[in-house]
Amino acid sequence: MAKKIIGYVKLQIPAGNATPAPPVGPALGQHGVNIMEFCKAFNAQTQDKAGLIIPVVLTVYADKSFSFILKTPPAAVLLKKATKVEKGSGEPNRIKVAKVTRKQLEEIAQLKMEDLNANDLEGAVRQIAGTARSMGIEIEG
Amino acid sequence: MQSDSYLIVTFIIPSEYEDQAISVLDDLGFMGSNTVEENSGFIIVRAYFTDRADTKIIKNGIENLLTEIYTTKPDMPPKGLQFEYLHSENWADKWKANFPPLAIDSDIIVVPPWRSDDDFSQKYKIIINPGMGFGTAQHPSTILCLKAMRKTLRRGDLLLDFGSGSGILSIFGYLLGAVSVDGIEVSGSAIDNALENLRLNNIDSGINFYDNLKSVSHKRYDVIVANIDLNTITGKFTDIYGLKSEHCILILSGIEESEMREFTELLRSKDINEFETRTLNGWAAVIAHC
Repeated sequence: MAKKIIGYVKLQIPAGNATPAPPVGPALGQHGVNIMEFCKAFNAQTQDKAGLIIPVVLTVYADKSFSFILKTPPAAVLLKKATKVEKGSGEPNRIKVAKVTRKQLEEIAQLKMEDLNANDLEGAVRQIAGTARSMGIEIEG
Repeated sequence: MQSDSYLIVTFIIPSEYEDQAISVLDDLGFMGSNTVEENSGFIIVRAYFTDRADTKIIKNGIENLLTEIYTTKPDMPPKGLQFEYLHSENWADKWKANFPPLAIDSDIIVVPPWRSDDDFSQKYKIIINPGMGFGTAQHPSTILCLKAMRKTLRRGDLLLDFGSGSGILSIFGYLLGAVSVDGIEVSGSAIDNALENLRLNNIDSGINFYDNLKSVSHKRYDVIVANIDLNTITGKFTDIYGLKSEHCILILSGIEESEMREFTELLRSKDINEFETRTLNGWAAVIAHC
């Protein structure tokens, strides 16, 4: 339909757990869209990714209807989940907090592929490995 | 986990550090964030915490991140780390004020579900839950279509609603007495919204939604309405036109007044030389008998 786009809103929110509280309420409130409908649709589409932060980009149309696309969680968030650590190392060169296998890196790279600026899976793996090292996560194998 | 107020922490970073920042905020236990693109490759991050969060730990965590970025990006703007508190509001309901009942003319009104039991004098009440389908009745192109359908659609007609969005035009066609309505919509989320709107209007048969025109290629319609935009109508015009019955009314909307010259040429290419044009706030709709 006659979709004139009046704005985009980018949010980073916990999978399956969007509520009208911040950041959703204040960010969407200023565009006047149906906040409950967004929460319902976002939660339905992300409930299988519990525990991850999901970036989402909403497009708001001229009649206050909207659509959204989900992005992949940040690599660091996926690495923490894969290695079951709560946070990265404050001194990644000296203090290692976890180990990640080559297979885990590939899985994350595969998932992130569409959002990464990489030519092939190997390039994506290298980017994820770089993120892992910066968090004090050792790479096995 | 209702809080009376929330802590908002705002800072600016180069956009390529967004993922890293989100991960740090996740470590710090944030509720979520909102990022806004700035010019020249920077983003403003607005991170939300409950008011019970430890500001000292948060400040340290984010300052470490900014220092780290600063060592590789010395041209970064000065560390503008801001802390403020936001009072809780009734966000769950406040947006509803943006969707009051809208009287389209003396006998059509579009009503949100939370006002559906109110009494209205209009003969035709269309209940629309505003959501992921275009067609909340707040855009002139939709209003032009509703008015044009009121004038032209006859009881017993077969209606095609191309780009059905929220389903508002399909529902209105049904209320006007169309015997069968097909809506075409590429967005699955919009179809979900339209199906919900059917339920809200107590319609359980007579309207079907499809995600492509092929599903209805064997049918011929008495009224075809397309509330989209010039590009989409141009691209699909031959296909849509091929579905008209012998005496069909075409209602084409979503065209900006400035595009009318181009649009008229498209119509002429199908030998449609006589048509009515209605305009509203810079938007035009065409009604053609063909």
